[in-house]
Amino acid sequence: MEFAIALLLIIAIVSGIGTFLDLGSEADESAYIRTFGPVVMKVAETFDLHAGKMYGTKWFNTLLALLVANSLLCGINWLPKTMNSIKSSEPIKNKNEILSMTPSVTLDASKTSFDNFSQTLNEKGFEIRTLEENGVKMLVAEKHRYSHWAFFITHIGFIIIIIGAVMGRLWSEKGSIIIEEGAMNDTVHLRNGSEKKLPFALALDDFKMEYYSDLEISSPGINESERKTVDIGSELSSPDGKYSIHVDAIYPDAVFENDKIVERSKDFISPIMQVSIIENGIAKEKVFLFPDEKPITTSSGISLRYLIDPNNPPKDWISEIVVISGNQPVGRKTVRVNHPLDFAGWRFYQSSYDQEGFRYTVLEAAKDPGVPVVYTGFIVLLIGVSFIFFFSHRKVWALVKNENGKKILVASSWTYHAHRDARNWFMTLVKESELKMAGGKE
Amino acid sequence: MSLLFNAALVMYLAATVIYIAAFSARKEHIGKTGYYALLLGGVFNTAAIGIMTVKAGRIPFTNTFETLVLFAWLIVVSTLILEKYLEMPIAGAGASPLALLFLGYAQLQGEIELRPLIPALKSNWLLAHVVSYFIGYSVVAFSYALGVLYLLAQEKDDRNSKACRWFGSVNAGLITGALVYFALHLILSKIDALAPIEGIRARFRIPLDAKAFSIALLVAIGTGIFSGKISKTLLSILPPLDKIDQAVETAIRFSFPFMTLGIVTGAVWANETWGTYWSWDPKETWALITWLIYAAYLHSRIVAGLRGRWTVALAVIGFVIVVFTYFGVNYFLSGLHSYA
Repeated sequence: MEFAIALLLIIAIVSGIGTFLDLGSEADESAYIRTFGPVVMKVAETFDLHAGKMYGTKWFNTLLALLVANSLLCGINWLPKTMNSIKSSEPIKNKNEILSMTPSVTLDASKTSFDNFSQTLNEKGFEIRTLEENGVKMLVAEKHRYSHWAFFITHIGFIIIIIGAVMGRLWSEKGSIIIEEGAMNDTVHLRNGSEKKLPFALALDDFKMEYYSDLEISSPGINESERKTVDIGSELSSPDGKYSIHVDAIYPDAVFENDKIVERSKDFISPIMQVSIIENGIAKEKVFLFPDEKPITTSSGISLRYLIDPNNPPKDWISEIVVISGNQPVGRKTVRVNHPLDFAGWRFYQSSYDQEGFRYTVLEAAKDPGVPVVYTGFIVLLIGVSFIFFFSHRKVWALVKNENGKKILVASSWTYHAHRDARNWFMTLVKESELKMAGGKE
Repeated sequence: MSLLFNAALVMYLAATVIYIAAFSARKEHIGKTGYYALLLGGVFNTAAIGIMTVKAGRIPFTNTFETLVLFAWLIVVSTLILEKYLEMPIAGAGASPLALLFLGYAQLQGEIELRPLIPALKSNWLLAHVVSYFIGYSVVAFSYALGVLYLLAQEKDDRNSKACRWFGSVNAGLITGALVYFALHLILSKIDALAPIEGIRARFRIPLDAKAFSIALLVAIGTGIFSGKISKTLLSILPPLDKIDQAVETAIRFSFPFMTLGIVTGAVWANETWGTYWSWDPKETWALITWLIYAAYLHSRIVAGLRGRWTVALAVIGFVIVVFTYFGVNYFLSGLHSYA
């Protein structure tokens, strides 16, 4: 066990060192030596301490393997004990046994009663077994006995994650694919420098970059103007509250010809925003706005301005992708950041683009059969830790008997976790049962 | 909005002062006033977050400024709840300076304009990832506050007790120093703006940051030395130490599943955005380190059955690493997580 704690701490410490000794991809060795000194450089190189490298080294993997082995062995070691505590029902205890436990109490049975105590436990979801022998009533109550499994579930989850990670290390393929607009490609440039032919091809219909559009509204006589980032369908109120402005459309690249909008392309080059000014639910007029011009004063009196704020980040990078298999298009997907394309075990992520003319897109391509395993491990781990920390096996024993002509109730409890908290929890339970009795009397 | 932030700051400051005064005068009923000051500050903080949400038209937890506001708010919420639940009226004395510190730090950055999101952050995973992490982190902040008090209350004269006191007072010094630095920064920048110094004095002018920093450093050292000497007084004020020890565990036990959820949602989100669930990015690595430290803590408590100061010290170290994961990684290390 101490070994496990030491391992956890050692892995934590060496991982931390690795993040500081990051050489980066464009390694500037002289700057590195200036910062850390030549000795550190030498030590770090000998042991491969640099980030990105270290986490793949044999000795780091050995540490992780030791941690897995340790949790497996601990698990096997604990299994019989756990099986025992889950399978066996708790025996009913006699008075001396109860009083030898901590916390235990002796109560005046006129303040509470056996039935009240048992009912309180029942309301708290305890499983209760009772026994009556020679006029002595006894009970044992248990709750969350199955929480003992949580220990195993957590560690199994951890092991599944590591198995998934190893699968990824062995069988995953990662790289990138460049597709030009109107063309298709089936070759992924893998990170190890080789090329991989896919059993299908990807074609790029269109690549575009989107920007956030801001709309500024001012009302006559009011100094403060209203400004907000808008999208198609957004609705804003004018500062005087008389009108609402509805964004009908944003054409990314359009011109006016004969009082009509003519769209030139889907790339965000020369946008036009079309808005309606609405008064009391009725659209009064339509206005077309061009970005970064002076505010346009409408016939309603309010002024509108379309702004593209250079301080805002880009809104999105969008690749319209068609999947082609056997010369037939078999699927279509708008690939955006956070919205990858899934096909035949491969996933494609928006990663880069042609910064000069939006003529090609770069997608990150990944095939990792370990991912479903890792995700399963995540779920198992989460279930495990939640059960370990939110549920705890609890037991309560109680009996009532006549002693010197007085009825007394003797009770005790046990919790698997937080032993020192047990007394608090137990006394609350006793108090509740006393309150119930008092309530019943009145 | 800035009015609400200032109101919350003032209430957190008031809570800190009242709590500390109440316990040094040993008047628990004044401590209750501290509780209500903290509660009122929390209400202002809640309102500020509400207005931020409406103004931005999105979840307002996407950069350092916004998460600092969330962090301060959650520390207050968890303290208000846990103080009652764990019967630890002293906890507010340690936790309200932390809330003050994080909200103050947010304010020091100036009111940051609410901007729309970069594409990578536009995901449903954002809410789950950030909120689960900050619930976890705010509850361990509570355990940290208790832990520092626990370490400072080691009264014996042996080496181990001295080491604990030293470690506790370094932490107390750092918190106070940071608070003083932020306060001075605000005050001095106001004075500098009002009275520009000219002529010969301007040549020997100490830069604002150096001034604030050197004063804060002195206060930090002073607090450190002072807090290392109050163990006996502290011991008479605090609840029984083993009860604090247990409360620290209960808090960490509660927050660990949230930290696990944070790391898991982060990994799943990374896989949706970058095509890999784990890339040993500094932020990821440090989040894992935090998780490993608390895992070590829980193993040492639950399985190995250890109790007392070494486990508490580990819990305190855990939160110091949380703070490094949160701020330090952004300043010292570069990576994919450059937004917060």
